Amino acid sequence: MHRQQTFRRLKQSCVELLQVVATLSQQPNAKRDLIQALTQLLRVLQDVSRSPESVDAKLAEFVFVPISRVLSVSSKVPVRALELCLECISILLETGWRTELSAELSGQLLILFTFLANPSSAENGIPATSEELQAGSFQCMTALLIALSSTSARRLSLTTTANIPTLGKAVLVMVDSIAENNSNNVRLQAVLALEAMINGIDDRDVLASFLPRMVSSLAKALTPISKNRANFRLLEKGINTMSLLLLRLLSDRETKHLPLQASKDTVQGGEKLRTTQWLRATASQIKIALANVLKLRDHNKPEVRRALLYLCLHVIQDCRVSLSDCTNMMVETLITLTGRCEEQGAIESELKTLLHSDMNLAGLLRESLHSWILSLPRLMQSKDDVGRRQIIQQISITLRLLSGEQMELTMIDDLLAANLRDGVSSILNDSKGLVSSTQATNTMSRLDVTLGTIKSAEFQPLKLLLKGQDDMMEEFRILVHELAGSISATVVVQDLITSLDSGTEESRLATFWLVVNLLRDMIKQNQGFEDFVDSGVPDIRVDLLDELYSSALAKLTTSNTDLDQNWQLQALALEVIALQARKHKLDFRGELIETLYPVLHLLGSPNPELRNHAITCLNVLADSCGYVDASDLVVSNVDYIVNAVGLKLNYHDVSPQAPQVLMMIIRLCGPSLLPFFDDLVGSIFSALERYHGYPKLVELLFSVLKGMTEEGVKAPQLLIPATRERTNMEENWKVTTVSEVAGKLGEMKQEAGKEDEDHVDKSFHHSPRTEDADECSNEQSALEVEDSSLNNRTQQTEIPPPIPKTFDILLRISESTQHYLTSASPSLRSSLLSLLHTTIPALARHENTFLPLINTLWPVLLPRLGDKEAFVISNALDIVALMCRYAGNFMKSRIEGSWEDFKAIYHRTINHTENSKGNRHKYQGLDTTCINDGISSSMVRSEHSLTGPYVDAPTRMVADSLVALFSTIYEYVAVREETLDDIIDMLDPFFERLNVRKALESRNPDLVWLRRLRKGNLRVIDMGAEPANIADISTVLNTMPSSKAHWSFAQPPS
Amino acid sequence: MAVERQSALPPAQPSYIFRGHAAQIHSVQIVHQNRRLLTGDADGWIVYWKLESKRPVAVWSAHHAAILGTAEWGLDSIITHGRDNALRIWQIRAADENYLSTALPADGLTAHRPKPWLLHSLAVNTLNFCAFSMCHEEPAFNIERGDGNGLVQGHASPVRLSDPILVAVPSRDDKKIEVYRFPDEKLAYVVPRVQPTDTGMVMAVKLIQRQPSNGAIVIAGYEGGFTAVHLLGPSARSNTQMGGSVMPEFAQTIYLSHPHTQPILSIDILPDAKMYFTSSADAVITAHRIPDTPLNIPDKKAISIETPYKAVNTKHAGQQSLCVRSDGRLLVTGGWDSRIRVYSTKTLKELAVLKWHNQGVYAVDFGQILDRPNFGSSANNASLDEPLNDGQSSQPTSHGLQKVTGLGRLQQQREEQIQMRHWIAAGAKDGKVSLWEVF
Repeated sequence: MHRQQTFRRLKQSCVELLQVVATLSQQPNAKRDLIQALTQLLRVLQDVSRSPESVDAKLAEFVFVPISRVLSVSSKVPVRALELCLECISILLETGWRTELSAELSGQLLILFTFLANPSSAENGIPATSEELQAGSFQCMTALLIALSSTSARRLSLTTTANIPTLGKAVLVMVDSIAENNSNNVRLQAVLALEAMINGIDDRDVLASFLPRMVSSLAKALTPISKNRANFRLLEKGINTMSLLLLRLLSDRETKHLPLQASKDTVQGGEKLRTTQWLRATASQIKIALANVLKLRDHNKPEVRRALLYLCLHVIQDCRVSLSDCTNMMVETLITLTGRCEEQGAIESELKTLLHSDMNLAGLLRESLHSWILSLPRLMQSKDDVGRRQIIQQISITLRLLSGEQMELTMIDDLLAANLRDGVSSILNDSKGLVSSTQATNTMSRLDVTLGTIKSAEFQPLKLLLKGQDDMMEEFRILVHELAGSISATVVVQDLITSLDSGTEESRLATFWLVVNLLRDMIKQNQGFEDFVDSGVPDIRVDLLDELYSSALAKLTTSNTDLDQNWQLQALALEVIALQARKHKLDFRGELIETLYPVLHLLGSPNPELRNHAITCLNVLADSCGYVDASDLVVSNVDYIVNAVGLKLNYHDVSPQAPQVLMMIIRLCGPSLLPFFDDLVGSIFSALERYHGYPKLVELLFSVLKGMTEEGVKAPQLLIPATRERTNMEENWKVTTVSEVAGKLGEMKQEAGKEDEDHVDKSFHHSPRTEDADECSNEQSALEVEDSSLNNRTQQTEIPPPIPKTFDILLRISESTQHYLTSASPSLRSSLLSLLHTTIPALARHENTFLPLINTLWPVLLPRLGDKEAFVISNALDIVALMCRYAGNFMKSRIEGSWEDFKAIYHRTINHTENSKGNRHKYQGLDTTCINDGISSSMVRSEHSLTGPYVDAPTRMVADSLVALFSTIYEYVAVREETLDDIIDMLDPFFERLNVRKALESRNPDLVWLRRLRKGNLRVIDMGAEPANIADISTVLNTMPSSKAHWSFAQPPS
Repeated sequence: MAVERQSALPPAQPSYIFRGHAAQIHSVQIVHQNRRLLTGDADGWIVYWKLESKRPVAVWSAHHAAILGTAEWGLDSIITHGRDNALRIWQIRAADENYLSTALPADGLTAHRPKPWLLHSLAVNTLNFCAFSMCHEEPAFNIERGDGNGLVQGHASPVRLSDPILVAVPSRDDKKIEVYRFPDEKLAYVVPRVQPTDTGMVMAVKLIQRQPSNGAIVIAGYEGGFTAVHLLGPSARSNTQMGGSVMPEFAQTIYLSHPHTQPILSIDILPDAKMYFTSSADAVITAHRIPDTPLNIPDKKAISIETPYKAVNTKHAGQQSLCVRSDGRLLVTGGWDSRIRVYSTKTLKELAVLKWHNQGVYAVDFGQILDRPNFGSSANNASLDEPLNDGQSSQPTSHGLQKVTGLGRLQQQREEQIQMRHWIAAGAKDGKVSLWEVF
């Protein structure tokens, strides 16, 4: 049924076509009709052939009849018609003729296709040719050949004597097209046809006769330098075809039994051309061809490379004997390709099997390895990045492959060490510029060396100048990794270690780099084994590591002088230390005595990478030695660090790292560490003496001292509630009430009769501070649970209490500042003063030492009040205020002695601005919106006087300090009344400042009120001229009656 | 020769500073074949440091007053002498180190610190600030130790605790010297006052066994700048063996000299007991030859004052402590001027000045010169020295000690290295002990 239907459909088209062909010469439109008819037929055929088995051989023959008619008049039909015919035939070949095709017909078809495919047919047969036609005919040819080669019987028929010329012609067309056709498609189809042909021809002799042409044309197509660039599909197919050809003709299986000589007595007589001689000649030719093809190994398409890879594999595997000349070349290509191929593992295992099966191959590989290693340094000096990388890859893959084999590699080992070093060093050479470039980047933030929060336990690889070099080093790293797995590693490491300290900078660095990486990999790879097996035999690696470790340690401890030169070396040395620490774990604690400080030292390095390395190394150390973190490590081993820093400072090593590390550990460990520092303070001061001309260093040293003091005052013995002083002083100042004054007057009258010395003694003794202090602290201790040591101390004031060592240090530091307060650097002067600012409150606990200290400092402090720099003056004023506050009446004579100086400062700063301001204010006084009440306006005024546009920041700073000083004096020091009046006068503009008012009120609240009221009154009286404002003001000033004198009822507003 | 070289070098730096004492150091001693350092301070604290790690292994308050001197008896006991009129012998075995406190005196007081086991305690006179001196009663073979203890005899005959020792301390009459025998705590000898002149009280003693004559001698330095050599009769030993209440014997003065104008501060002797050195509060260092023991002990006739064999005015007054190295070639002094000075014993020429301390140095000691650490690790060393490739074939791999692997080995190596070095330890008024590696 089905078949019938198919037949009917086909018949219709065929008849149509026949008609058109018959009338071809008469009809003018025949050509178009022909194409139409053919198209129709093709469509039907395509339709029909969709269901398999629908077109059998009979039907095919039936369909072929009209097509053959068309073809027979091929000289008259258009090219398009021929193309359509070919398409139809190809369908027929794939369907109906797939299994049954008569030998005769196939021969004819082959001739036909050959004719159509030949571009030169256009001259002698058909009107024109086209790419499509040629491609189509090759396609048909492929189909035909595939169909023909489906059974062995047919294959035989293909190579019958009769068919040979036809085949020859076909092959000729194919190879010509492959080699010379311009269209890639045609070439591709031709290659496919050729492949089918090679598959189809069973007779090796026939194939062999075609071999030279085939190979040469393929080689031509595959040579990358040819003019028309082949696309990658063509290349892939071409390579595949080539390998197929070689497999079928030249594989060892085929060539094993070749006769030695061309035998004359064979049946065919002379036709047998495959002999060993032939093989030899062919092989040499093939080698040339392959050499060209192998240039494709750098092709960027993976498909091509993979095809090439398989070609190589096949040649190596199957043509080992026949093409032995090529093996070398193939192996090299193979290694290159393996490195770049995605499925490395699979290929490698294949390669390994190959190596196992053939010792020669391993030998070959070794030879090429040898030559590669030889050329490594030379290549590394070239600028060809791809080449450089490739050779490293080759070496590493080969090493990996060979390490599996028990190969004798001594010859290579010797070379390897030296050449690797040269190679790496030439790369490092290129990046020389970097060493200087990163140096300058950040010298800031060096003062505060801290243990960063970076918790990295892995070292960042050392960065080089160029990206390419980094990649190259990465390749080297892989190479080293491979090397580490091989037996040669130990020899290489030994070689390298012996040459660790020789050669140029770069080569030393290269050696070190190699050794470090090699050893690390070696240890890593053997870790698992050693965990389980204790082989009693001393491990060479451990010895090597020990050796490396000691040399690394030497590098770290000695190379501090030319620090900038070889930071990479130091970084590598850090890696070695980390390596050793990881190896020995807890046992490494013993080594910390030597290693810890050098590592910490590098934390202060100006080079950020080195710093990172140091931090990482610390983390590794902490981790390996079983500490919680790096700061735990530091705190637990602080004795070693203190020792190292102490020796460094004592040696007058001026590098900033030692103070920086000191600073860090002070911050980390707190005041408990200070008792160990007493000699360090001496060292620091002696260093200061020597290097006072270097402001940076001096500042650093002082910042260390400052750190010491800041931590020192936190010591428990010195942490005393600050309230004691205040209460103490306030009680003191009740003395100055009127009745007290009267009492005092009487007292003085009495004393006037006594002798002078007595008088002095008495008044000195009369100073009520100690008793008061006792009472007060006793009260306090009754109230709150206090430190027992404090209690003891305050109770037994008769005997001087044991002074803690920390206090001693603070005192020494403070005392030593006197020599530097005259320093030329203003910032140093200022930092000294701020240092005093920190220590004075703590030192004031021990009056017996504090008062002498003031005595020492006063003469150098006073000139600071006339300093050129305002902030120094301000700081000095602050210190004086602090002294007044803590020493109280002790300061009386000093303050009074230099009272004129303070007044001078006042006139220089505040009064001066006040005057210039005052004028402006008078002018503003008329402005109604500005004046609200006395308080706020005076506030405004005082604010203005200091923040107005005419007052620069330094002046304001000094003025602020001065105001603070005056209020402190007023509050704490029993100066003469005249002085007090002066103070009141001078502080007048600042009454509204809370702290000023408080200070003044603590002594005489009434006075304050009076002053303020007076100022307010003045203001109000001024206002009186303005009737509109009176009401407003009186409501605002509800507590201050302005018109009537209710003085007795008035209270200070606060 | 060394002087010229030294002058070209930068000033020497200490290898380590031991911090931790809160008071002045009064005594330092490198013991245990350079493995431990024993320091005592003015508060009576003893710190037993490990030289390898530079950390304390034991800290305890041995006396209530300043430590005057320390010594090592055998491998596991320590003799301390404090100004609280006591001489104590403590037992510290390796196992004991674990439970003893390691918190340093400067770290502040902790409530309770375990003390080592007290073996003996003897009430002695310590008014004159004179440290004791100790020697073994048995004359030791191949004495290596310079400070006359003679207790280190290498591995050939390890010193046992039971080996009796003699200890010389000033008597209650502070111009006499008493020599006690331990462990039986018996008074064995009394050294009487030197007859013809008033020497003042005893300031320094040195007790040593003399090789050939099998007799111990006591060298004494006196307040008046005198020094004398007293011979202890050899027969005393048999007396003690009879046991019981034997009266102590009197020593015989065989040498007297008056080299100093100030009190003698320190005495040390060459290991071969042929010559001894004194330092005093004045600037002079003297060397004295010890006369051979007269065959027939002369009767008590007054002995003449002899001039010292050699006297050098160093111009540095107050060399508080003097110590001779175990090879007898160098002596070191620690002075009030805070310098440590190294002299040649042959010429008394100054070879080196070590400056680190800022306050007076009160005690110095030499480490022992060891040829080769001879405590079972020689095999280990051998295998290290050998080329790497015959590691398998070398014989000691199967040795028991070879079990030490990893850093245990590393540590051992370090310890050996440290033992092999030539140390000087010095303790000063600032409470710190400096450790130097020189010559």
